[in-house]
Amino acid sequence: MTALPTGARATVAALDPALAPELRGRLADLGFEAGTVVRCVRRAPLGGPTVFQVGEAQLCLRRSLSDGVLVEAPR
Amino acid sequence: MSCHTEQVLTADGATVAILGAPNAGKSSVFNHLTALRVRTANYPGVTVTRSLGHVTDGTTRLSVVDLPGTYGLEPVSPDERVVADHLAGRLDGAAPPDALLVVVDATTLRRSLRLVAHALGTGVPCAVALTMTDGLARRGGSIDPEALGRALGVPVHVVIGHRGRGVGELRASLLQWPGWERPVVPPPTDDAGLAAWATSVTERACYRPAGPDTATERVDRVLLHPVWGLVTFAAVMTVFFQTVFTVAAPLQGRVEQLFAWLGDVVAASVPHPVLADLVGTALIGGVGGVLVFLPQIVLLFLLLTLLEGVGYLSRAAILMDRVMALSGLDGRAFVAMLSSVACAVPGIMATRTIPSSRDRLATMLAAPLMPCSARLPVYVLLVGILVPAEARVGPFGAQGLAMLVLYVLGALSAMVVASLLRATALRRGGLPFYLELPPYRVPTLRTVAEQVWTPARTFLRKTGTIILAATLVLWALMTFPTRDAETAGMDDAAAAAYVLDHSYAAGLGRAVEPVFAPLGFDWRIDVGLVGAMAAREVFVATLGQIAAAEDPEDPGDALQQLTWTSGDRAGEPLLTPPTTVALLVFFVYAMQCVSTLAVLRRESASWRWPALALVGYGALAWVMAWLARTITAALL
Repeated sequence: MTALPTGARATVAALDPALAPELRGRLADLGFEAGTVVRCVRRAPLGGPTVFQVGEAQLCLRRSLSDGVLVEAPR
Repeated sequence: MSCHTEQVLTADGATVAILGAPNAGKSSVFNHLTALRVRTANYPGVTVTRSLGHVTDGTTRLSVVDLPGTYGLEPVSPDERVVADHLAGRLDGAAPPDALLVVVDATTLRRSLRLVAHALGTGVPCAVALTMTDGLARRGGSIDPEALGRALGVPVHVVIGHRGRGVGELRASLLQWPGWERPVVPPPTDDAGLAAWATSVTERACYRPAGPDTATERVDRVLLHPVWGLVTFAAVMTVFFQTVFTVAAPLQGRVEQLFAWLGDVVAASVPHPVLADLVGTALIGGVGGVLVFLPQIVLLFLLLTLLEGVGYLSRAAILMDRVMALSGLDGRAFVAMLSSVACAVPGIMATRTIPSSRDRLATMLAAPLMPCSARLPVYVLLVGILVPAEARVGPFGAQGLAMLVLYVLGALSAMVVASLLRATALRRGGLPFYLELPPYRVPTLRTVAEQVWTPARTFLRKTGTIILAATLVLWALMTFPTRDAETAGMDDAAAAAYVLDHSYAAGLGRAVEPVFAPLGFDWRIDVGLVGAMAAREVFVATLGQIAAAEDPEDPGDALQQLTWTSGDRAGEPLLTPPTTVALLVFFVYAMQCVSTLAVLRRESASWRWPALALVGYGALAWVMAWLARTITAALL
């Protein structure tokens, strides 16, 4: 999901199996479930983390977590 | 009523635990239910806290525990493991709750259902408090709370946080917790099953999700903009720091006037000289010295609480995340560091929001270096001696510039220490950073009041008692033995000076003198430093008493004219520029303030870290003061 360009939408395909199980659980708790639509809202200045729209909430993640969310382009 | 206790919280009667996501309005519900009569305490032996209150209808009494906000019950950090163990009954000394109240934000229902499912999976009776339904309606969404209750199989109560609507019914329902409906079948535990279950629940509850919060998006376009975001951030920070210096000043002036007047009244009416001195100097001076800071502390907490309540602090944490990452921390540590500018005690307590215990420890240990408001009177006093009031550097006043340098030095040192700690002793165990950006809200007056009053009350009680006790002890050390026989023939000023020179404090100061002699401090400054261990403000009171002993008429001048009374430098001025700079730098780094050590001990659940901070920062302060002195002497 890190590579998603600003403003683009995508659908969550899966969470990276290489990620630790509790982190995958937490990402799911935060709303990153298969089938959820995500949108890259903006990147923070100074190379900071990225804000994503996930369902109805806005979440800010660093690359180490957003790398763990695998998305596919919206159909 | 104590604000912080170490004892295990035992529930009298049954206990209901409140769960919910961090921005779901959980604290608002908790405050309304418990009518602000709360106690906060640690889980036994660890640094995780929970708040305990009560609800009662006159006959039944129910304990209510507010658990830390979380998105799920599967623990991701050691802190969350403590809470999970508590809920499962695996934690010694903390009985599991008898019932659970899950606070669910209606605007994020789909996601929140996972937490509800986890709660239902514990097998404990559950109920749901549905918040933000007004926000949902405003954004074009809708929900049928009763249908939601039928779909979930548990009671659902709508609560509108800032109006307190629905709290009465919720309270009544809580007291009837044994009668709560339970779901026939617990929700599935695997991801796919949970997703399907959540979808079916939202359909049966006739849930229409909210549209985007356009107002928030528009504001965020500015506040998180690469240029305007940083500009507004700088503006907010400027306002924040200006209150430290300028806004609080007139209020402080009023408080000072009050105490000066009180002091005069007492001095005039109490006949016995020692008693008059005790009440005048020690009591009124000590208490007054503390209360003078109350306007500042209250203002700073008010600003912080407003920024937090509106939702701006999450944006600030995101803007600062990259900068904090330089120290190996993340944006959430920024809030704790910012709070430490008011006082390290609440700043260290604010680190509870940092999920990684290593990050939290690093932030806690670095926080005391942030220039706190207690250092301010010391800085003002010493900068006043060092830099003449009219001096200017370009368009800026030199005194103001000197204060800024001291503040920047403290803040930078805090970042360096944090980064060193994260690179060495506290290397492993960082948790990935995630932060939800809540929609902008108007904070409720009640929550703001509570979140300003609680730390203010702690400050008054703890710091006040410590500062008062320290001022009294130091006053006694400097006034006794009274030496009436030897001072019989001297005039007032000489007598006071003689008593001071031969007091218990003098003995103490002279014993410590060799340690600080290379920095240029004499025994009187050393006595002040010892007093400052209790609280930094005491240093000013101590020096004031010393100066008044020299020249009761004009202590300010006397301070500048102090000379060494003995040793090789006898007769030379004491507070020379190198010495004053050394003293200032010493205060930047030294770990004074018993309250900070106490809260470090409590929040890190061990004596090791405060001891390390005390010794480490003491040594660092000595070395940096010596460096500063040497450099200043070389430059002049």
